[in-house]
Amino acid sequence: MQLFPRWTNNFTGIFLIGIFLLLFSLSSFIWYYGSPYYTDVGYAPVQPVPYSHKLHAGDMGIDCRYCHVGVEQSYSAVIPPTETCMGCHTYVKTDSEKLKLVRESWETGKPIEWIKVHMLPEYAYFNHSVHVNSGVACISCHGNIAEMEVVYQVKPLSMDWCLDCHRSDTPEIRPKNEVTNMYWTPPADYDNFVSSWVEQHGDKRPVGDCQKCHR
Amino acid sequence: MSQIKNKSKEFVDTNKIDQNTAQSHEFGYWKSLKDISSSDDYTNYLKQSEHHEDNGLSRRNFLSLVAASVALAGLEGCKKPVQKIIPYVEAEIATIPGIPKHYATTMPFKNNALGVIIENHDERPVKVEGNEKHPASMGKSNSFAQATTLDMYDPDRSRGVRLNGKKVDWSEYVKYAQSMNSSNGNRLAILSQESSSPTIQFMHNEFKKAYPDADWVVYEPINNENLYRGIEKAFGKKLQPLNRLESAQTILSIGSDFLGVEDNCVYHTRKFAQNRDLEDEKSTMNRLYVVESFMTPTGSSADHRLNVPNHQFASVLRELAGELKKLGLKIDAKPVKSSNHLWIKTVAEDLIKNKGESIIIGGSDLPADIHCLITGINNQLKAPIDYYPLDKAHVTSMKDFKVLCKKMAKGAIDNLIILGGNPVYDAPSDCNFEASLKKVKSAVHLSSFYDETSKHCQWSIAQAHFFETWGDAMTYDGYASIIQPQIRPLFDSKSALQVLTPIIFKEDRSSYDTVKKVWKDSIVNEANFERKWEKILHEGIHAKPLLSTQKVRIQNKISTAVLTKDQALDDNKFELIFAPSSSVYDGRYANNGWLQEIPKPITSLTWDNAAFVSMKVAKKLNIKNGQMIQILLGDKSVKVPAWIVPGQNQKTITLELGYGREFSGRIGSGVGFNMYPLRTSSNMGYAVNAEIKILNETYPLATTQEHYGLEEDKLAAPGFSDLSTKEVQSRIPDLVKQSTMEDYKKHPEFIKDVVEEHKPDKSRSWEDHSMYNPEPEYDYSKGHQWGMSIDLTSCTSCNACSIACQSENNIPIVGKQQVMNGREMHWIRIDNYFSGDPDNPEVSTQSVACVHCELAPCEQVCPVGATTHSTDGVNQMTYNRCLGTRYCANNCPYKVRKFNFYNYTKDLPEVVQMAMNPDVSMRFRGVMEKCTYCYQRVSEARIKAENENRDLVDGDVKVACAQSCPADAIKFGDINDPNSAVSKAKSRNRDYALLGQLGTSPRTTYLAKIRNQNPKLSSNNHQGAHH
Repeated sequence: MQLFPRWTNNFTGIFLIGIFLLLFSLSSFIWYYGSPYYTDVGYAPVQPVPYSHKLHAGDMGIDCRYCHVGVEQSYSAVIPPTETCMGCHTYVKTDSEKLKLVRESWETGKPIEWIKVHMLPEYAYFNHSVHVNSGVACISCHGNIAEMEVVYQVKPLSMDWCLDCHRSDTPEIRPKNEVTNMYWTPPADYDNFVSSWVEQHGDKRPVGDCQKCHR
Repeated sequence: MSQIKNKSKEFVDTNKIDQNTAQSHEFGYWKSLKDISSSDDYTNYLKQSEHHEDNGLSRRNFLSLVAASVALAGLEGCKKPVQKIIPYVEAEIATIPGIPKHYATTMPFKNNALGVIIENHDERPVKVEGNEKHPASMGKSNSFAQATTLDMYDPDRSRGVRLNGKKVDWSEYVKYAQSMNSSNGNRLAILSQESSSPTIQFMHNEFKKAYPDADWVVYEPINNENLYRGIEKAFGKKLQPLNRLESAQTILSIGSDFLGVEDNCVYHTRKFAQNRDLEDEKSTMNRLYVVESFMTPTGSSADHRLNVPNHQFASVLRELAGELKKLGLKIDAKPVKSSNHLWIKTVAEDLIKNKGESIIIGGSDLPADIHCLITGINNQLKAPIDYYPLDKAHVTSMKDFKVLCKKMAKGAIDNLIILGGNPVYDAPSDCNFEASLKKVKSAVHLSSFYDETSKHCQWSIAQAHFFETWGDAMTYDGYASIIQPQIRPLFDSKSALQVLTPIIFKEDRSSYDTVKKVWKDSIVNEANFERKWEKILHEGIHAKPLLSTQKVRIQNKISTAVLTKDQALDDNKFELIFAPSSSVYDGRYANNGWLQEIPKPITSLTWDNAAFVSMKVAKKLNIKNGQMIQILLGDKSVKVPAWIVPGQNQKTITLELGYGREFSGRIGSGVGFNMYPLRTSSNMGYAVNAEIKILNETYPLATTQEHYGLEEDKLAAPGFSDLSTKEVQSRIPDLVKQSTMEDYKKHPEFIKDVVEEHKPDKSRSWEDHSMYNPEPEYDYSKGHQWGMSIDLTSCTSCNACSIACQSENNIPIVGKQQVMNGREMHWIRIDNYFSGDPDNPEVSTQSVACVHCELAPCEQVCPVGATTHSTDGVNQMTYNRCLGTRYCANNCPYKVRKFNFYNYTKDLPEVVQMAMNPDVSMRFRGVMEKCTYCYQRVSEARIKAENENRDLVDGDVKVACAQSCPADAIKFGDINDPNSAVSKAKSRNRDYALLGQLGTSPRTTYLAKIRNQNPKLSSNNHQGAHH
């Protein structure tokens, strides 16, 4: 006796293929999103104030450290307080529409809520000061900020990427006074500089020092 | 300085916390405490989007919204949530977010002061350290100081002002206080806690001027009144003694736990340990004799301990006086001979031998006549004690307190201002404080919690923690320092000074103004006051002492006749001792989870108190651990579980005070049993002739004594189950190696012999015996290599290290049930080992944390590489890699790895999260954790040095345990630097590795315990636990 019509015979096949496709997509999903290939590169959130790094840091050439005051001392580079903006904008562009929120913040005492662009996992303890003081340039991790109208993430910021530099025989370093320079070109004797740097600072390859970043 | 704190916008707006509305994203740079963007944000977002649909939601719209939210929720899972950075509006002076700030302040404790430095992260005080410039702290601290951060962030604290249970504005109280007038001053009284604050003293004087008829009474349930009265009897005036233990070679304690919970313990321990720091066998060390009735940290540190019930201390002292007279002291005493004669005679000889460098310390709860005689003898011995005037401090007067209670009961008091304390709970039962308080028309209670006393007072005012207010305090020897606030009051709380000003000056004055005025007018007295003031705030101490030592002269002949006759103890009756708890003290720390969960010294009990009974009594009356007993004294009785404790006198039952609190605290309410009902004003310290009744109930008590045991572990291992207890006991000496001074002089290299003895094959080297590849992973001869040394000779098992570690490393508390399951999380555990006679054993304590083996067994078995070795020799735990197999814990021979069986911090209130250290990850369920050598501090120091372009020097890295240890028993540093403190400690011949025979090469090693036993006594006291 035929309980089911003939076309149901394909069900087993469809079912098996379906299971296979599901498992395949699930594992590719996990494989991709769980891997270092999946990063936030290109993440460019819209900020509450349309601040242009290109204008300030690029065209006008304000040094990074004018605003990011913590970068040489703290783990955090520090997002500047409203006061820093108002230092100039009390006199310059005092009625700009773009600066409305900044003026409001200054008047009301309510801080501006910036959106974080470069995010590290909570279990990774990164320290700006030790990198900057060793001569790692801003551009090495953040890209050429001086040409960004809207700041976006340039590098993967994954552990794999950290280690690329830390395991490299030629670390990406430069003289300390050039760290904020976005257009620095290595001099002819750069190799000598690197080797003397390694001599002075020691081997910064972490090998198995997990706790230096994860604690 | 820290006054400007309230401008801070970047991290924590404390008011928001108070209103419990703080959103997690307000905490700009938070690490790990909570996902910055929680799913709440998403819900809020949805809510907001719903608001746009003002004109009602059609079914179609609703469905599409649901579909969209499901899709969004799915996407939420794979997209990183948006994080926000919230900077300051105004730049803070000298503030760079991310760099912790350190401010000096003072922790007032009764009439003493402990100078502390508070580490503030983003304007949140998170860690307490001792202030090296402060004479009572010397950079060290105790468990109460370490745990006080949690007190500050206690969500159960009282908030604002309440009148008859209803919240009212502070101005209402000010109006009420201003309405008091001096014409009926005799109906006004102030009941305050003990204090040494010069500003409180000033307020007292002003109060007396404004209300000449009013009373100011000081009461503290645990006080030194008897000591002061004894000194008054001897010298004619009440004085504060300061025991200069650094110059004492022979110390006799009669019932004093001066290394434990008694006042000034940090100072005492620090100075005592100075003379226990043995360089080698040629060094000298002090000798401590202890007469006591139950085992205390002091008794366990003793070189010789005599177990005598408290009520017989007078006869011990009488006999001692007789012996001392024979040896030439001018004391009126008769020779007596008891069964303890040899012991007492030997002590007397030792005291005389070191005359000028010997001292007798009496327990603060002993009767005044005993203190009088001790003071006299000390005077004759030329003991290194300095006496300071006491008239500037506020200390308890039981007489005044009783008079006040009587007045209150008669209805003669209309206005009672209770400044701190909790007298309804802790006043002696014969004072009937609760009933008397009900007769007071209008009582004001300033307290941290809405507690037993607040319930009966019309006004309840939230008391500011010392992190939140201005004030001052003074050490015994007159060094005054400022209490400098670290944070704005979290819960709209007020200080005692703020409560007093409207009463005295008829105006609302800030504590800052009050304190500054007193310091300007009467303490500093210099032209450039502002500069001086800044300096005092910065240093945390005023360099000029306000008191000077007093010349003392014995008033009457020193005679044993001052001693009252011994109290008689009937057969089958017991002596009761009311002892302050090492965890909750008199009950004030009852809501502090760190203190509640810390295993107490000796008993390792947590979360409860118990009646301590001796082994013999337990056997005789068939009492088991946890058996409920009823204790009857006079017409009062309490029920309490029994706990059998080694070293307990068989006539004595010890009851810990401070438990059984009835107030709404999520940690402390209903924990333990209240012993205060048995305590009367005539027997504050101990009482005789108590009866006990065994009840047919048991009560579960959580002890950690048998958890993570190194020796038990061997017993339980398969194949070893036939090992007898004796066999196991014989192994304890390998764990805590010890010797006597006498033997140590004879065999200075005794440790080496022991280690060699263990070698299975004497012809092969130790490396060949190792079960692991003896080649370490890295070359440890290069760079900084971290190591630790713990001196067992000076450790007193005070728990300061363990709580310091808990505070620094965000270690969760797990609760009583989990402790009973053996899941406590403390990274440092303190092992107690007993040897010899159970009634008077020798105690060896050993604090054990991860020893950071160079060849670590845990690392061999981790399947995911979550525990690995660093190039600087630290055994690291990478939490985000751990998946919780627990293989490492099973393979750890030291049993120091702790596993998060649950997500213990899940329900952590937001306020408590503020107490967490942002430099350390919070661990999740299923993750193993253990001591990291405070690697966050190592990193911080290393980065600082690198930024300054210099190398790390010894002392740059201070780990939390070593920094807090009042005995300075823990040394940490670079073992590659031959001049570092740790290298020097490790080069001593007492240095040994715990379970060194396993070939694990631990980085933490121990210095063997040396007991300075008197050869005349050692034969009958010492039972060969050494080699």
